[in-house]
Amino acid sequence: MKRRQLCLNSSVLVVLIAVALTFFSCSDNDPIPDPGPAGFFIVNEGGFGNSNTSLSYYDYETGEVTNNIFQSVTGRPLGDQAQSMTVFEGKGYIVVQGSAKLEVINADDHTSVTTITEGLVSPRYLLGISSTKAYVSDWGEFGVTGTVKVIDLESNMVSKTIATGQGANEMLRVDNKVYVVNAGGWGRDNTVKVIDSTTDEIVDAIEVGENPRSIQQDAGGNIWVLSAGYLAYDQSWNLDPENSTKSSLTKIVSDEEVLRLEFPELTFSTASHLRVDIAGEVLYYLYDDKLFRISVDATGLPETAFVEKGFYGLSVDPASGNIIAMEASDFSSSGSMYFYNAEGEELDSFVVGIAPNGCAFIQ
Amino acid sequence: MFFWMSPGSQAQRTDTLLWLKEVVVRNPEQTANPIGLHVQRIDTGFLQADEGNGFTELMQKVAGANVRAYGLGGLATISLRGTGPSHTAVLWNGINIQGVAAGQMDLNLLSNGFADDVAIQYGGSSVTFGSGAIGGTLSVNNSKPSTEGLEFSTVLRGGSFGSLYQSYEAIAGFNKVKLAAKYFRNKADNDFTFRNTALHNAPKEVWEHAGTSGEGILIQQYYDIKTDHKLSLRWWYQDNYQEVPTPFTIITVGDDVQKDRLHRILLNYNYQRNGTDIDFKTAWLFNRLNYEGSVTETNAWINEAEATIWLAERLYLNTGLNYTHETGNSNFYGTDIRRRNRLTTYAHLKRNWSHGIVSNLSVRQEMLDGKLVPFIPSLSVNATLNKKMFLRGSTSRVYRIPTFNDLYWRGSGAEGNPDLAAESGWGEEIGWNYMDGSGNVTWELDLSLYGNQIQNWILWTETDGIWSPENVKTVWSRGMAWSGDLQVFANEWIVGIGGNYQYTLSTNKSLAAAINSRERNKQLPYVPYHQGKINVSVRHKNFRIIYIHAVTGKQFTNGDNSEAFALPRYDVGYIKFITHMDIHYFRGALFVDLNNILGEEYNARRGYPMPGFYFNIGINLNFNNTET
Repeated sequence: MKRRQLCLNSSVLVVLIAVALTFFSCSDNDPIPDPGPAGFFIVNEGGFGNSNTSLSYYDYETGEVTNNIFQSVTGRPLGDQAQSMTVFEGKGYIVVQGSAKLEVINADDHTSVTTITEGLVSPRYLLGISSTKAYVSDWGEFGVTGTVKVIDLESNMVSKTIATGQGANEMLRVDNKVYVVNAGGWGRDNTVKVIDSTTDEIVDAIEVGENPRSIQQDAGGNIWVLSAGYLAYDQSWNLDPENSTKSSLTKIVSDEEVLRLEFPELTFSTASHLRVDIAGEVLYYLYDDKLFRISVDATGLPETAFVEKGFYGLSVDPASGNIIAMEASDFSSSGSMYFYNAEGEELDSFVVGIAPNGCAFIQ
Repeated sequence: MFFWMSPGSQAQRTDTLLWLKEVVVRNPEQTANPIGLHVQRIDTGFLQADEGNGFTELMQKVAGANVRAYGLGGLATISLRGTGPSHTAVLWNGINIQGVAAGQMDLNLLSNGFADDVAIQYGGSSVTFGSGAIGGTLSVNNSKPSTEGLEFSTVLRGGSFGSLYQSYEAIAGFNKVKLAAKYFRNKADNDFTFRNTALHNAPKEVWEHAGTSGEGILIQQYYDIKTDHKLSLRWWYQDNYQEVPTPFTIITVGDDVQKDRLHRILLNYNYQRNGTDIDFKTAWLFNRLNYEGSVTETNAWINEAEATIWLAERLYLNTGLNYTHETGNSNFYGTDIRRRNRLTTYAHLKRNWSHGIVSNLSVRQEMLDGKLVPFIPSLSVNATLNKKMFLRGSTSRVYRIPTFNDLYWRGSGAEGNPDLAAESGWGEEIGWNYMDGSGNVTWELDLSLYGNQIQNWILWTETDGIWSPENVKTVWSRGMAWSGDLQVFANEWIVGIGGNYQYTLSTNKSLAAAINSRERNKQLPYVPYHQGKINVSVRHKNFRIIYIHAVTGKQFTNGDNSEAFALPRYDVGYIKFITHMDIHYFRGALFVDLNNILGEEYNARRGYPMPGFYFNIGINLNFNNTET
């Protein structure tokens, strides 16, 4: 149930006795940052249930990061567990999964536009379709009823719900087709559903490795899907290898799976965050918290990591081509963001918010 | 005069209701402990007049401690001296009733209607009270009624947010036998309004799914076999229902419910003669926690024999043996019932030196399933400089053994660690106390400086996607505390002003690799640097009014002290009116509580709003057919 909002004319209680006391108030607000000419946003998940998700901003010109910009500008907390952000049509759509809402800000000055809550349960990603329409993937209640919500960007309301499968996650648009990977949510799924964005109807389904989480398209128009696999546990909460599946990477051509590469081990930190370089020739992903790279022409998975650290988030900067990898540390304190070039050399690093997991670029 | 309101209060000063006075034990030779530590005894009259308001609110009003409450009616714990909730031992008539499963006490599972005496001891006292007494101890005690004949009383209270409380008590006293039975029942919807700052334009909303209800029974039997042989039996039963609130940053309100059921039974035999005191206690503590169908049941059988013997004119020995058997049964502990055996011995050697100096040398050794946990020594001293002033000092090792959840939990992405070591450290404290009075004015000041280093601090950390507890850091808490009290008597007026203040630095001194190095030397989350309370009270004939102003300074809520997530300072003001009248055998009192009169908007835990102004009104009716 949603929280009940009160009418503005709700009754006001009158204090009968007042005691005169010296009363100080404190203000710890950070200075409001100058948005700068251009940059990108860093989404920091925060600790689950701790209401400390946040948004950081990297300014290309100054080369500096400003943390907690949402609260600094709007004067209110972002919420609980932001999963992603998409900049579309001049607005930033922050998908706050734990808070079951979208926070909409102006991409240029970061001021608040609105909050969208109606119809959202456990939203994950937003994909802009047109100036009046966007798709939001949603895990649904208990993470097992995946849907894509069609958002009317004029009314900021959900106009339609498309059932896709368990744990609808990342989406990729290719012309009028939108590919939705069903990550399983808190269960299992192994499909990519295809939606016709003109009719908002599902037109196709593609089977891939279990629990696909991320999706990219390379320069040749091929679609790549990274699946996390599934970790099963027995009654004593020990890993049950027989009922588990390994992570995998799938190549899709003409809506058909043509290649599936299975990862060698069952790892607690499964494969995630599939990204493609700006040339569309190299894929990057995280596996066992390490950063790997693979050519789109490869027929086997790399055995050694590209960069060995304990990464939690990954993006590729479309402006510079740099790889941006993020470290979450212990979910209680600030994370780190690292820039790497195509050779894997660390170029710079920054302190960002708690549990950074990805970036949103203004394009 | 309010002493009739509770069976155990008749020995109290009748004017104590007026004051929130901190009491320092000035005759430490009467008890094995405390020496060298500061004790705040909650004014008995205030405790009685606060019945039905809940233990959480009581602590928020009077304790020199930080109360961490997940909103009104939500989980609430107490933090002393910059430590965590599991570092405060909670004692019921000397028995540690901290939960076996989680090692901390939800203040909602205590009832101030079942307490005749509440005291907070600040500073580590593991040598006396064992595991968990690192930051201090919270003692909840019952006392034997002095009623001869029959006495009945009831308290009825109701107020904002659908809060209702009722209690009924019957006492029968027949020379050597005293019987007391008390029943309470409460409920609250806690559906207050708040500004939801997580939403655009911060609309006003109703805090939902935060209701609570409960009931409890306390039955006490006291039998004075002879003047020097005494037997008592107490049974405390309580049932709590709690809707688990959802942080306001989460738009969709959850529907989780927690149900707690507990039994606490204590049998006590005491023999006192010629300076020798022999005491036997046996207790059974049962806790059943049902969280959305996941049930955790724990039992603790506690048996303790203690003897106090005068060895010489100024020297006495207090020694004892404690055997405790604990069991835990949970969906998350695997299929086996988990068991633990604890055998502890201790000794306190107290010496009254000349020139007003009293020293206490103590040792304690616990054996946990056949393995020794840290040996605990302690040395404490009180030095009375003159009739008005004394100094105190204490150095003591402290410890805390892992909880059953720490050891045996499996599930929901978390796994206990059976190889955990006990937390241990050293606590030091020095204090100064001055009490004076002349004519119609009395006043008292107390100052403490303290430090506490706790090694092997247990924290749940994530590795390879699994959360598991590890001994990961050393925490250094230190600071100062003062309390003061002034009373002025003028004709039929009594005016009092008192207060306390704590400055606490509690920082990570060393960290294991699993912890982000940015947390080094940072203040622990939810430990305010500054906190304090001021109370002003005025009494005239049968009418009293008390104002309490509680200030909690800024608190960081994450490991590396991000300003962005810090809770700002908040000030909460309380007013309590009390009046009473006596008509022959009948006595009646009226209480009015006005809470958060400043309408402060604040969170004690990030994401959990506390209510603005709210109130309640209560009455106490008493019938006592005998003069006491």
